Amino acid sequence: MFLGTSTKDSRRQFEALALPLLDSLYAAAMRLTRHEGDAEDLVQDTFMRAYRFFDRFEKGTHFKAWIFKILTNTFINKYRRQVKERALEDDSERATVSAQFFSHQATDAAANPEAHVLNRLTSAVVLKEIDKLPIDFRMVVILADLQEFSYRDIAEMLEVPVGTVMSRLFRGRKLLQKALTQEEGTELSTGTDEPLDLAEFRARKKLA
Amino acid sequence: MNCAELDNQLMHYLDDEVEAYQRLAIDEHVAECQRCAALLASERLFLDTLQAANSGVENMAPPALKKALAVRLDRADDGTRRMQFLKVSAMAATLAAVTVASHQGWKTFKRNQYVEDVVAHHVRRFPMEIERPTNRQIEAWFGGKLDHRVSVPQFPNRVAAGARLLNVREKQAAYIRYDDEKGDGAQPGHMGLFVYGDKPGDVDVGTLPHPEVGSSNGFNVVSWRDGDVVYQLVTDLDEHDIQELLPPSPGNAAGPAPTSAPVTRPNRLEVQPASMQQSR
Repeated sequence: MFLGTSTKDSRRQFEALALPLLDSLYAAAMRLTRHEGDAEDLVQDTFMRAYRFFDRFEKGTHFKAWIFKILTNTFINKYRRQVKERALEDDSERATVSAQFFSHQATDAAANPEAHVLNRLTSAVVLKEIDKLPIDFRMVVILADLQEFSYRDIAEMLEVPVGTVMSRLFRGRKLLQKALTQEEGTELSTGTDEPLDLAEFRARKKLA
Repeated sequence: MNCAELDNQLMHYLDDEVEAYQRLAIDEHVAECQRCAALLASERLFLDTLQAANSGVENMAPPALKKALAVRLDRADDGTRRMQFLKVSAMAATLAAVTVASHQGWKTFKRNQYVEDVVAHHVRRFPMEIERPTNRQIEAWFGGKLDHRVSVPQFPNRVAAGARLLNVREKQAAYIRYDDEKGDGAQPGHMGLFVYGDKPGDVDVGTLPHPEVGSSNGFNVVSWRDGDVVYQLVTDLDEHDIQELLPPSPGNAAGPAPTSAPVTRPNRLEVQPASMQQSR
């Protein structure tokens, strides 16, 4: 039967490419929206838009970059207004990549491994600090550090120059390092670095 | 490479955005510089921490999301199938309409060919094979010459002037010429009637009282069908006068008779054997 055959093939091809990325998309959506319901909606919208425009995807090219571009665009166009993010200050954009990447504080900590306890921070604390980043920094940190996209991929996704991507990434990391370094004391005193299972994590989050 | 250069390039190095020669230079420097080796380790740890945080189970898509996606994809497929069905249906409807239109066009084309042919024969004024016959004589003369019976219609104020065999396209036809009852045949008002068998239905015309009226070369042609026999009357009468020859339409049936029509004029074409027609 002619009817539906192409639809079936298309569905199968789409699922083969997209479903393995579902967790990555959801993780990124969580960091962007900072809300489970919004993240699920964002992923669903992304999936459906990607499926609708799947015929425009050039086979053999970078599908993950393609669908993440849809994710970021959907977020920017729809969810960002709801989230009411703080706009970047103009001078933040002017920070140059040639400036020292790492603060003296971080360098000093690196020089003293005993005091450097980054690896003792729980995932929840790290994610909480990422979530606090202004959205333009957060987007590049999510895409570069959590999803491991190249500068060029990110520049194409966000439709900004590569230099802007590097500048935002530099600034975002710097803010994050500073926040996490301050967080270390709190983290050590709470002693809650045991891993949580998913159900417990969600239960706690709902209570919070 | 020195420490300041490494500081500038470390971000790109960690992000795997440096050329191979730059990577080599940094590797060589780090191997000899404790400060930069510690810095590199610290920053790698920082990035690994971010990665590790992101790979926790809490960042995995909930099963409900997977189910919701499957449902929405199914719905999208249903919508696509519906759209495809509607598109195909629309195409089929268009095709059917075109087919019907072209079928109608073909039927009209064929009918016009017969109309043109009967007019072409009528204007030639071929010699008649029998002259001034009665209707009964005409029917008798055609008997056995054609595959069908020829019933001679009676028209108001017209008399049969003659009859002969003619071909209308590939069909053998009876041709009956009528003249004005009071004229000499040279005056306007003479008519020619073609009667031929058309079992295949090549000539798409209605039955009385709904004949087709066409025209060719200044003549009107009134065509109707009685079973497998087609009648085509060629005349120079105008449409109004033709109407008087034809049976009244259902809408006019209850109305007054046309005042221009003589009282004695029959108001129906009598397409029946002459023996059964009313005497005049």
